[in-house]
Amino acid sequence: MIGGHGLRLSYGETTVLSDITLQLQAGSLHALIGANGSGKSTLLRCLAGLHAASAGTLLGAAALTLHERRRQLAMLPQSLPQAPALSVEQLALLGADAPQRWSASKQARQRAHEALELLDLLPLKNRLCQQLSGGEYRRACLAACFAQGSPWLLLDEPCAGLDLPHCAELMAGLKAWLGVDPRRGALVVMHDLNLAAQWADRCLLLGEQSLLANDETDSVLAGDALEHAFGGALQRFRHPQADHLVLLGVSP
Amino acid sequence: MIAASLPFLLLVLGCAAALLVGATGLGWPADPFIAWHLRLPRLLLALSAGGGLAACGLLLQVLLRNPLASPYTLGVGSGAALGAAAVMILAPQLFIPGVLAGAMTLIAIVFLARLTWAIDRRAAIALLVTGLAAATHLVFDGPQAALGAGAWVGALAATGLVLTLRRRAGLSAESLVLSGIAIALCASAGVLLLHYLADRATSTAMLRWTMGGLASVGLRHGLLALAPSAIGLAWLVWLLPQLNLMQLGDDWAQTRGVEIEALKRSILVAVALWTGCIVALCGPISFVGLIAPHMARRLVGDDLRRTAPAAILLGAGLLALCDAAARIVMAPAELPVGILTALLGGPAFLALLLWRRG
Repeated sequence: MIGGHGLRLSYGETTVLSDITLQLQAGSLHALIGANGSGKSTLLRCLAGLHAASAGTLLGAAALTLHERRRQLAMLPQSLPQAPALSVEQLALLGADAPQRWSASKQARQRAHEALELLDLLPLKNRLCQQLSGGEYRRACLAACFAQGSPWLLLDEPCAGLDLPHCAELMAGLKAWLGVDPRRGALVVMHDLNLAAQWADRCLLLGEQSLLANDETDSVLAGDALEHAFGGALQRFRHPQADHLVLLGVSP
Repeated sequence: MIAASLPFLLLVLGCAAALLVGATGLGWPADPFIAWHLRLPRLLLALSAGGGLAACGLLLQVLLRNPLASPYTLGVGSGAALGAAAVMILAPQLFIPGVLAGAMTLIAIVFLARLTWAIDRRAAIALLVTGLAAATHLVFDGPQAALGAGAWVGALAATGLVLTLRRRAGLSAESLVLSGIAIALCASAGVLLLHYLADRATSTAMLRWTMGGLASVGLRHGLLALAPSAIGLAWLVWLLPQLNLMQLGDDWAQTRGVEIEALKRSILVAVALWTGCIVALCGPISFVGLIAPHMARRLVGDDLRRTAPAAILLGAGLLALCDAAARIVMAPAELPVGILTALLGGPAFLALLLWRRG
């Protein structure tokens, strides 16, 4: 479980979110949605221990100390620095162990191998990250998160800047990882509602400085709170084959 | 494979050149005094300074995530120059008792060890042990020239200023670089002012000091020159894996169990101490700290557990080679090695930029 009770998040004097209470259960892919500036990344960073809440308490994996937390949750930040001259395998091993270790343990190597296999990166494992495409590099970073071996995964817009097929590839990899073990869970910040509609099991909707909804994806995306949160009209369709919604923004 | 062994080759070449090249010809000197009290200490100083500058350059490039960073980026070089110039004008003949020099070193090391304790206890203990050894050495080695101490204090003051600014304003990497530039500008203006106030002889001596040189006397001095490297390496070895994680960003490192804030402060203080010691020993020698990390990255990649040793070997070898060359290009006169490193380093850096990895 990961969550918080009565969290207030602010930057200096400006409060971004107040009185946020949530408890996420393992086994599903949670999407964190909301308009630009609604505090999605801030909430994610707070749960990852990167942003201190000005009020409220963290629960579960989020409440652990720095050293215990890395065994319980892994995080993929939104902006990653330019790809370093490391091979994909080296990148996957970066953070797979306690940070003080000089050489990777056998378990870490095993985890890294499994992660690369899951994301179809084994053929590229000796390639330098600099030589990868944007989508491949993002997948390699996700593999590094998997290799950390922690059951919870927090991702901040993993698909930003990726084209649709590469995005689907990444999300399918995430789904596959979740399917391996029922104790695993993921919270993913998404600004693309269709991405949430297609992949998420549950959606958390942020707006007006609070958590407006936390429910099954379909009921959140079909509800009126969505228009309210985004401050604009939306059109909804059912996907003819797959059973999920497709959303379009409409100009007034 | 060839790429990975190049740093070793350069080091061997540098050592051989430093010991065998002389103003009067090639070969092992007949006079044992020249071998043991002139060439060997000089080589030790070159290795220590070159390796240390390379390590500090790499550390700052990782910390600031800026490929242009060198050990002097945060104003350490200019601060040291100001300190040295002030000593030359105010108290040229002053000597500092060994006890005071030892105490100063120990206080600095204890401060750094306290910062490092939160990140890695082994590093803090190694730091204390080597620091204690160096301080004892300083105490028993008697009075120290005030010039080095002035440079050291100047370097620390510049970094202290950057650290205070950072604490007050919570500066990002970019603003850290900018504040370093601002401090360097102020310190340089201070040096110019002192030049203007000084008589001609002192002004010339000050100018000569800023060119950097490895002239050293006696084996004791050479051994003392090894101290900053011993301390720095003892600190660095344990922290390399955590520095490696920092390459993917602060958030990445912190969620993988790195005490990022403590690590950053520890790096800033360590770089200031390490560079300050080197500048105090041989003046601000430029370019080695910038070019050696870049060469190492090109040769062995970005895994710091490999990059750092390669950079240190390259820096040490490069400076030893440059010093050997500086002794003979204008023999019997001796070119200040700082001029040579900049003269060769500029074109070499450009060549490195143009040479793309295949």
